[in-house]
Amino acid sequence: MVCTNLYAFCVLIHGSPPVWYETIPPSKSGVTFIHDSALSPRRYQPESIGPGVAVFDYDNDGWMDLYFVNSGVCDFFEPKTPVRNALYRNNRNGSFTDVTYKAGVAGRDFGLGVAATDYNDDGWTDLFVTNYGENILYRNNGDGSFTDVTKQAGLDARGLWTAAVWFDYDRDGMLDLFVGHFIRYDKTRERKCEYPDGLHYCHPMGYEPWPSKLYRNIGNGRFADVSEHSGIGVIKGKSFGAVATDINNDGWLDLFVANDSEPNFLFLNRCDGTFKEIGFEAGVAYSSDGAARSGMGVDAADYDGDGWEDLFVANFNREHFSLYRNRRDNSFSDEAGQTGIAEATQMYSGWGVKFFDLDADGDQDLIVCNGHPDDLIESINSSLKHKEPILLFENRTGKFANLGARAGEAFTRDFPARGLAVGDLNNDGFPDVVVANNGAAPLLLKHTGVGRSGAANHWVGLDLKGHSVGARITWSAGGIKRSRLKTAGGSYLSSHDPRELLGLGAATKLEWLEVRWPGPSKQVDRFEDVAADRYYSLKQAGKLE
Amino acid sequence: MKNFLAILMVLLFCGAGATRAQIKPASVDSRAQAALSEYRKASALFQQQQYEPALAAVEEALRLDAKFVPALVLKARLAMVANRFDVARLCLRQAVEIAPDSAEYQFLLGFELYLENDFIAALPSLEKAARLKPDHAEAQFYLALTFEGLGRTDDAINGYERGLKLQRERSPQLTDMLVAYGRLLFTLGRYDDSEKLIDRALIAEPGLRDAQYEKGRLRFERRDYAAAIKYGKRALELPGVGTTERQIHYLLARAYGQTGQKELAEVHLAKFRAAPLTLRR
Repeated sequence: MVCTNLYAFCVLIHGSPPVWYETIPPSKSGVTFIHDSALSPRRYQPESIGPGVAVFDYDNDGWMDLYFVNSGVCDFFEPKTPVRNALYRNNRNGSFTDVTYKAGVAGRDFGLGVAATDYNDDGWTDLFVTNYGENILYRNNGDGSFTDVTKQAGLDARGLWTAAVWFDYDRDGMLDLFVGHFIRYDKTRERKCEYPDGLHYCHPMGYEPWPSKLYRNIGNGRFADVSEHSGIGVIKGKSFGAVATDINNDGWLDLFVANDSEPNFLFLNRCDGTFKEIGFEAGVAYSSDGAARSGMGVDAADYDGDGWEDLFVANFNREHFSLYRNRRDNSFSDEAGQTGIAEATQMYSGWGVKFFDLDADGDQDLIVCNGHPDDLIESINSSLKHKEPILLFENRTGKFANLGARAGEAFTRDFPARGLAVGDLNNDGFPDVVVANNGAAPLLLKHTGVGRSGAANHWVGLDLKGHSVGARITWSAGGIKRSRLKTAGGSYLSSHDPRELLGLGAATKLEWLEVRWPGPSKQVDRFEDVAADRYYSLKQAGKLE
Repeated sequence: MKNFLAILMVLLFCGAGATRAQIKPASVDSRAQAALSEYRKASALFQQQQYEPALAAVEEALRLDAKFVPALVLKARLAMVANRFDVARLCLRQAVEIAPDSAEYQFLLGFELYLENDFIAALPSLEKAARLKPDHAEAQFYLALTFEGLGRTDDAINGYERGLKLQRERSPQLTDMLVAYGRLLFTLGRYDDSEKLIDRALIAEPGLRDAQYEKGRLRFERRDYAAAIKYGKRALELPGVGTTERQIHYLLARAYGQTGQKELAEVHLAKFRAAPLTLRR
């Protein structure tokens, strides 16, 4: 069911209220990928962690393609049949074609996450795949294929790598790379957690934390390990999610990292190539009781429209997820209770998450996917489930309403979800969702185009070309001024459509649009009377096209 | 609320004395009389907190009469004290099967399941206990806690309200309930309502560490850092096992940090970091 007209009309025709999302089955999408978690009786930690997914345009045809990460050979897993990652090209008709081998991006080692970006500024989007083992940097050749340039780039460190975030921390105009590391791990470090029904995955608390990495882009496709110098790599954590954002509006990108069973890190950019970790002082490291929570997915956005970036962390069940409102003084207050997030997330373990404008009304709504990491949890606790629902929240002036079944049929079911990426797969201006499930097929959710108040709201899509992470987009529609920072990373092991969808509400045009590009250029581009309901691309100091 | 002392209080004092009808053994032969005798011995030892001999006596009672419900329940209590929740659950399930209309046994089964974070399983027993004995304050309290654990906030609030009406002024359960309810409202960002409950708890029991700490936490949220320090320091001086020292040092480190007292902030931060890590999972 696709309802792009009046809500009431849909109810009349279909006999039931229209839903926000419909599920696209593999028979229709052609996406037959199934994640192999490498599930073993021994229950090795990495089995429960992945996978991630990327929504990106690898062939520059203006249509978003999909990349799914899979497990693979490692010290505890020797697959009986080959296991590989998968790249699907968008056929521009709602279906996708597997082009993995042609593109040369099948992966190696035990895949977990992915971050897509044009790191070498050649106009083609590249892929960075995080692994248990050695990560992979796939450089896009611009001809439908990629080359593994990991070693040449200097990114071949081994470990249990999770989140990857491309952002320009030193404002030299080149994208640098943060790579999160979970626990210090190899097969021999695995522990045994026995229950009457067998071995379960152990709590991360029993493993040694390990530092993450920051790589500085030094040009010519090479990176320098600046983990120690920058301060990022001097602290050990158990990092899962990470997002680059500007918490103090100083024009320098900061980094927020969620740790599992360790305090979260908030790395404040000192504007001199180093960071200061201020998680404790900022009130985002621990719960209000001083307990380290199980941070997994993260995101950053200005959910209350005050011009300051807020933070979100998806935690474990009974920990509540965290919604940190920016207090504009380098500190945050957890507003999960006030906003309805705490109550709605009490029983779930969250992973992939994204603030996005579901209904094109201009504010930031929220989606988060969930799943208990212990596939045997139901045998020891009847209140918890391995598979859990995806939650879709509509932002209603600062309070988040869980849409439940109104979001769509998929939202009444449970999934072993991990990664989540949002992107407009059919270029209709409405954000679709891809959920990567652990040990199962992914879920593709197509936005039906329904607006809450009836008629679909209007939108403008903006594809900022070149180096745009950290750009500030400000617009006015219907006399209401709004603003958005282009962040990087976020969610969990996943990579979103890089285009920004700006909600106009009932307005049919933007009165004006302003893009303040990140340093070093600080270029400001401004446009008047921008027509709605179409995508535009923009280069620095260029025209809206 | 799941601290050892609170658990022990429930186990020792909530319905621990079985009624004459309840302790009637399954049969009146000499074997049953012997079971009754062993049970009485075990019960007395349990009240004296002599758990090992109490367990031996109750095991003997059950050997003599496997369906002797008070002995099953006493064994469950002993098992919970020893953290053997699996054993406790088995005994209590047997007990409620034999005596399904006992509010006390239903409560204990629900209580045990709550302690294991199995809220969905705990709910029917606690609801039944509250139904069977509407003035069962502990059942109402744990029902509220269970609803809270399930994220059913409105039900939890109703449960706390019902529970508070049943509590006598100045009873230990009253202050526990006020603090637990206050914590829920704190989580929901209802700081004014939360503070009213915590103030009530402080009036009823000024030496309650949990309440002093919660008051400090509330003051911190209100950016009244001097008061946060005052209540945090008081909490630190008081005995108690519910609120940990780690929690209080965390509060004090942040509050001193906000007031610019860096040295004191560092002292408490160091103590916070040195304390055993708490993690809610």
